[in-house]
Amino acid sequence: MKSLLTFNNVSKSFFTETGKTDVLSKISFTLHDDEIIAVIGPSGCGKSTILNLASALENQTSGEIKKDGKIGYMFQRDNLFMWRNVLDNIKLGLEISKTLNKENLDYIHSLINKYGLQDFAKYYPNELSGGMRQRVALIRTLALKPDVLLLDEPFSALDYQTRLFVLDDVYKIIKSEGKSAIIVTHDISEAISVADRVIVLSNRPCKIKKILDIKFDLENKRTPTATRNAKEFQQYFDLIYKELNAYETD
Amino acid sequence: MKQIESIEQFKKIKKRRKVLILLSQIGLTILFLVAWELLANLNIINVFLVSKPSDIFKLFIKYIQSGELFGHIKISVYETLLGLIIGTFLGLIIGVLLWWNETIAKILDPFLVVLNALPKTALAPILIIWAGTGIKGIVLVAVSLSIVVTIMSSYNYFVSVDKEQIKMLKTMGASKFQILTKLILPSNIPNIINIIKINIGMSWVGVIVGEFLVSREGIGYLVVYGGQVFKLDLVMMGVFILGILALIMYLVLNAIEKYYRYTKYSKKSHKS
Ligand SMILES: Nc1ncnc2c1ncn2[C@@H]1O[C@H](COP(=O)(O)OP(=O)(O)OP(=O)(O)O)[C@@H](O)[C@H]1O
Ligand SMILES: [Mg+2]
Repeated sequence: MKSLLTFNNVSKSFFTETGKTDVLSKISFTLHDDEIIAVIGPSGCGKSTILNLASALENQTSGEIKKDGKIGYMFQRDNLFMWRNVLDNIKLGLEISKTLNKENLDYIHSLINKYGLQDFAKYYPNELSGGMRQRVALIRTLALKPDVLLLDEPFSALDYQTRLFVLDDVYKIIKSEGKSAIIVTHDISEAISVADRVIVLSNRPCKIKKILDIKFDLENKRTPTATRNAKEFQQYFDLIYKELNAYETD
Repeated sequence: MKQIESIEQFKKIKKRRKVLILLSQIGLTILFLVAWELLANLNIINVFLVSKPSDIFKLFIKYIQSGELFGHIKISVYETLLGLIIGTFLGLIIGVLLWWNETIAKILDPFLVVLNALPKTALAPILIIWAGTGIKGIVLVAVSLSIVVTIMSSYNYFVSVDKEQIKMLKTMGASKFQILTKLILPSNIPNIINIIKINIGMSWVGVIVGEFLVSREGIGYLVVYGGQVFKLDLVMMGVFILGILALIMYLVLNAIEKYYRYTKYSKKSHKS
């Protein structure tokens, strides 16, 4: 197993006019290839900060972050540009990195065809459903060929039905592209249904309370929906719920 | 209301409403002119003070036949467009600069607020003394009216662009310049069109004030001259022409905006 991303005793503090905020305290974990880690914790504890550190948007105060591979980031909202059609939105990353060559364009088109967007390539974002937009956002991220995907509450803006559907969708795409991912969520079921490991965080300054291995007897047929009906699901749920509630008040 | 049953019917109803609105607008204008003419002919209102449509129209024809009018229109339109373009461009460029460097924005903030609060028309005589009494001075007055508002509002639009979209571009490795050209400017095109709309009015005010003060030609000069010799026909004609010119500019901009909305945001018309 190759390790793609390693946090080693990483701490992070922010300095503002009102003082110093210790957000992360000695966070250590490793993300391997072909693995999905879910991060769950109370709101405001520093989940997004972990992803910002991983993608070098922020620098850690202390500790070490080792990266072996490209990072792709996906947000809570799809952030599609409404003045660009689907195809041009997907091209955005290539334009930014000035790698808009034939090979990469072919790759984009193969993704578009593979994930059923060919009929929508000329559509504008406001002409698409929420689930479809999230799929476009994922493909825009994949267009840059990242090895690791960081997903920050990527489905919380969707309604419940769409969310279940999109979760399955995104899970399948991540798996079939052979990517690893860190997915931040505040939804316990969501965490269990996609992750190989769940990291439970404490309140601020946030430490890792527990890292839980998630295993299902589903072999290759694992999908988020299938796990929800598996017998192990409830056990994992109770475990995480207990961990979280020792701290969470709301 | 009747149930709408088909898209044709829906379009028909929409079109009918549009025609109704347009007809009402034309009707109101005609009604106003006819009432004015009638009241003037019946001596209920004083023609010496308010003139009347038929006299204004006669004068209009006279000025057209002598060819004098086009000269005045040309010079005023030229000054206005120049003021509009310079004021908008410079304003936008400074707006970008402030967005680019927050420190500069903070430093300039109080000065901009004061400049914005000053009644710029009061400064017009000074500006004209500085820049000269020709076109330069008049255009400068027009620019002074539009530039400060352009800077302030464009800067506000630029900094209120969605932070998460900026963050997304950063995760893709975008430079500040790329953030500007890929996100800040394109996302603000509708706002920039609005700024231009406001600046059209501002530039006209500037040009007319400038012409009041110094000019020997232009619509503003016609109005002032008419006032000085108590020819209210001339004053009213100038005002009408101003209204029509401003309307034309506004319509042109509306058409551009509509074209933009139609070609963007919808697959029905693919962009190149
Ligand atoms: N750039 C910054 N400057 C100062 N403080 C910050 C900054 N970014 C985050 N913080 C603070 O760090 C803490 C953790 O923020 P973070 O966004 O990582 O939390 P989160 O777990 O993702 O929260 P949520 O559940 O609301 O998404 C918050 O208290 C926040 O106010
Ligand atoms: Mg967050």
